[in-house]
Amino acid sequence: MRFMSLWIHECRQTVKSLIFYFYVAFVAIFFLTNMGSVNIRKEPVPGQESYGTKHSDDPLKVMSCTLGSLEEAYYHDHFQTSPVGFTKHVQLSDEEKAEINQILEDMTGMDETQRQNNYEKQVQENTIQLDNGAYTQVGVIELESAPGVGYEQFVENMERVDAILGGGSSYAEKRLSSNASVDMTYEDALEQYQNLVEKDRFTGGYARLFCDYMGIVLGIAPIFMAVTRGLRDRRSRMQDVVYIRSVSSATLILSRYLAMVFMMVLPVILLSFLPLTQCLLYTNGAGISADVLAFLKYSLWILVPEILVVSAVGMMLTELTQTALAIAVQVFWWFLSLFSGVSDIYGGNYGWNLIPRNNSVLNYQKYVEDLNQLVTNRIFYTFLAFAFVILTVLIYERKRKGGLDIRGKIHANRKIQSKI
Amino acid sequence: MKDKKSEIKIVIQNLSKRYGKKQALKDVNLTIPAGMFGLLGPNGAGKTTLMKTLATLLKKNQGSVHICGIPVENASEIRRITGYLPQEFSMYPNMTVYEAMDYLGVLSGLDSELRKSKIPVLLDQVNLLDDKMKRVKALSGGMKRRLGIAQAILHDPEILIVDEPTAGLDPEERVRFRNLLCEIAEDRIVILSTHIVGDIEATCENIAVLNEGQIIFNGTVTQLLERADGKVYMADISRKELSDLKEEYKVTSMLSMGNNVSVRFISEDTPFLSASSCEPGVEDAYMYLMQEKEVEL
Amino acid sequence: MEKYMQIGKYNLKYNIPPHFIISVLLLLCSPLILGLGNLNRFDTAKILEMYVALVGIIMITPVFLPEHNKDIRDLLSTKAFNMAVVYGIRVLQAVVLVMIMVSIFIAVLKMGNCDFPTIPYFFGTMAGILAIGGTGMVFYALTDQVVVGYMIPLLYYLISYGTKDKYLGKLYLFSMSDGRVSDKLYLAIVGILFIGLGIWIRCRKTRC
Repeated sequence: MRFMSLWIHECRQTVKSLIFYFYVAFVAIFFLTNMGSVNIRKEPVPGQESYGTKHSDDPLKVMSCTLGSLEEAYYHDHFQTSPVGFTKHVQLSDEEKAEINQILEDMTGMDETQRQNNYEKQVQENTIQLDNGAYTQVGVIELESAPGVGYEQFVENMERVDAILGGGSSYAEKRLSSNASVDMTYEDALEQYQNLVEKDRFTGGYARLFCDYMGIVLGIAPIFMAVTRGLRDRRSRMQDVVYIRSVSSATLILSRYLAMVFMMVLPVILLSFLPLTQCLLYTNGAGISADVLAFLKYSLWILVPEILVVSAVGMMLTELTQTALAIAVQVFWWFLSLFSGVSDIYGGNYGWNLIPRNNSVLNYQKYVEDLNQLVTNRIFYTFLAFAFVILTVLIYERKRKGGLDIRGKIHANRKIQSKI
Repeated sequence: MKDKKSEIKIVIQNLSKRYGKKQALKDVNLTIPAGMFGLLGPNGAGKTTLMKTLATLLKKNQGSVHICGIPVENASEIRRITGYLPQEFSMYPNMTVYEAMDYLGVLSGLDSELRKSKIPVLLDQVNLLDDKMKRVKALSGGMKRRLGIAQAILHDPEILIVDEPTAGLDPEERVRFRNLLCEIAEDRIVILSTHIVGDIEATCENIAVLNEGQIIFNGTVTQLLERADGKVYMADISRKELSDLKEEYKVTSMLSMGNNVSVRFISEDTPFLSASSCEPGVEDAYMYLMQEKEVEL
Repeated sequence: MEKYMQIGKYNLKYNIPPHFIISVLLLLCSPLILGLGNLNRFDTAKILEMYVALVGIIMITPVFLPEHNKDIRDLLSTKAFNMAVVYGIRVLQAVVLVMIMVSIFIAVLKMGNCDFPTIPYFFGTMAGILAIGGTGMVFYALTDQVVVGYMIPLLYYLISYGTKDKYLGKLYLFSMSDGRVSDKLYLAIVGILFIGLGIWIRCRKTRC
């Protein structure tokens, strides 16, 4: 009873706060500039010049391309990783290089000199002269695996290479297939499109794309609401009159939290009506049976956990420090999540990333393959969020009784707080 | 109801509170009966610390505090029966007066019927009913204080703790505010802290004087006056003599009249011939008490 | 002159340290997640524009924070001193500190054998920093909420990240990563204008 009245009060207060409109603007502007109007996919027709590329699922192709790239790195002694989307150069010791040499030898059956010659020959063949006279290298270097080398053995060895490089390289198991890029055929393209129409009922793919963009902005936007709400009591100098109320800390914090989350989810759902309407206008005309609720469903299970956890982190850190520190922390987390997701922006390999990417309406296959990961990921963040909320309640309870003055006891009890 | 009233008291035993190295309260013993209770003391004496401890906003280091028989550690029970107006009170600036009351009412667990019936009555009592749609940020200092009182008694607490309530109010507002507190104190404890002696004089029967964290007086106003009996003198002296006098005696008040000054001052024994003994006021008695303390130290 | 020195001293002593510490921490964390050696000019630009530039929001935006409390602001505005000068000194100190941090960072990149034009990249990075910091100041001054002051520069950052120069044109934040250092001139001009505008708005709002 009290919880509901408080919740309503909080929602009402949110509607009246300036920061809420900045939040709405923040999310809406990002949506409009990045996604804006939907690009409706049409069925592919035979005979197109290109249907795009895809990662190969042929083990032999993956192996030869990966080994080629490893040989190239070894030849130039130029090893790179990109653990969070930024290129990182790795300098290996002689022992480590020797180990890589050994792995290459085991995998290809060629010794260092043979591989060198092979590499130089390929470079020569791949180099073409441009119209302006400059030389450039086209295509990728491939190095066939030795007969009898199985894919599992290959993966094991590449994982070892990745470990030597410190992780985050293109030799990690989940990135291996991205080394081998092949052209899509008409059949491939048609299958993708049919998945969109039949399995995703058209709107599913677009809803995931919507969640892709919204996921980026919602990895940061809720922090501003949480911090502002957390600082408001102190700024209005009413901490003490709230502290002394008989309301329990759990009721107070939870009602604030859930009101905040509800108010943040609302504009997201409203925004989803834009792409939904565009999709439905098309599907109705094209006779496709679309899932009207797809945007709602995907938003609720992919985006809400993100809002939950980001605002919980913000609430906890703000209650603890009474500063805007949470913004710095969240920007850092967001930065890491966003840039480390760059290698899989078209879906799949969701792992533990706060911001799961699905930057393609045609990625049904990849999405389904790694759906388990995504579900675990979102459940984890939901639990994490509530763990932070419980922590906030405990912090609030301590502060109410005069504990946890991390700004200094005398300081916090000073009658006039001259420096905030 | 009468029975309940007899239970209303606060018992403080051996209470100590430290902020790091600074001892804010030293072994405070105090019993506060129903009615208006004044807590007097200079700035920094520990008044706010004591009041915040009573309001469960600070943890004590030692001793015990019982409010109406409930130990202060039982914060949720205490909060149900305690109202508090901090020294610097404000509310979310963009809320209206009514909304602010309503919000705090919810936090105090009042259901919507009760809030609807009670808030207008209280606002009327503190003379804010006509301003109920005004935003908090548009209120004057005095209005904010009155809103503060209204929010503090919203849940009908048995204990009302008011920290320096008259600071920053104009004389007229101050009188009105004191009267309001007296009205409220009829069937509960109102603890009022102040460094302005006049506030106490006009309203409180029981007082305690706090200095450097210690209770240096606890009793009625009459008892305080009795202490200073025969220690207050009055004399008309020339301006030139004033600085000498000030060096020797604690001057409690003075009034200039041309080249002469009429001074009241404190002296343990008869000072000089032209000085005549006079009836001490609360202000004099307070000053006497503080001086006594200084001598002891 | 002594007065100005004093204002600067207080600012360095009381206001700057927390923001400075966070900035330094941010930069110190970089080797854990970014490579700082043997990078080409594009990868170097990416680090400077996308990572190091965040320091601008941390250091420049909160220059109005010491007067966050309205009472203090009212009190100060009664003093004969021109607050614009105080803000100016604070911004100047923040910018100098940022320049030192960026210089050290660039020196580390150079020592790590990264291949890029030093001076243009230094000014390019600073231009981005001024632009986001200045944006933050304007919105902080307008709304009186430091949180909004942090929020809008990040939106600017996000739009740059998501849409490149489609909407932002010459004011696109990451032009160096695309090989256009000269566009940074516009950013620098806008940054300086915004810083001035922020101070102007703040002073106007306090006076009335």
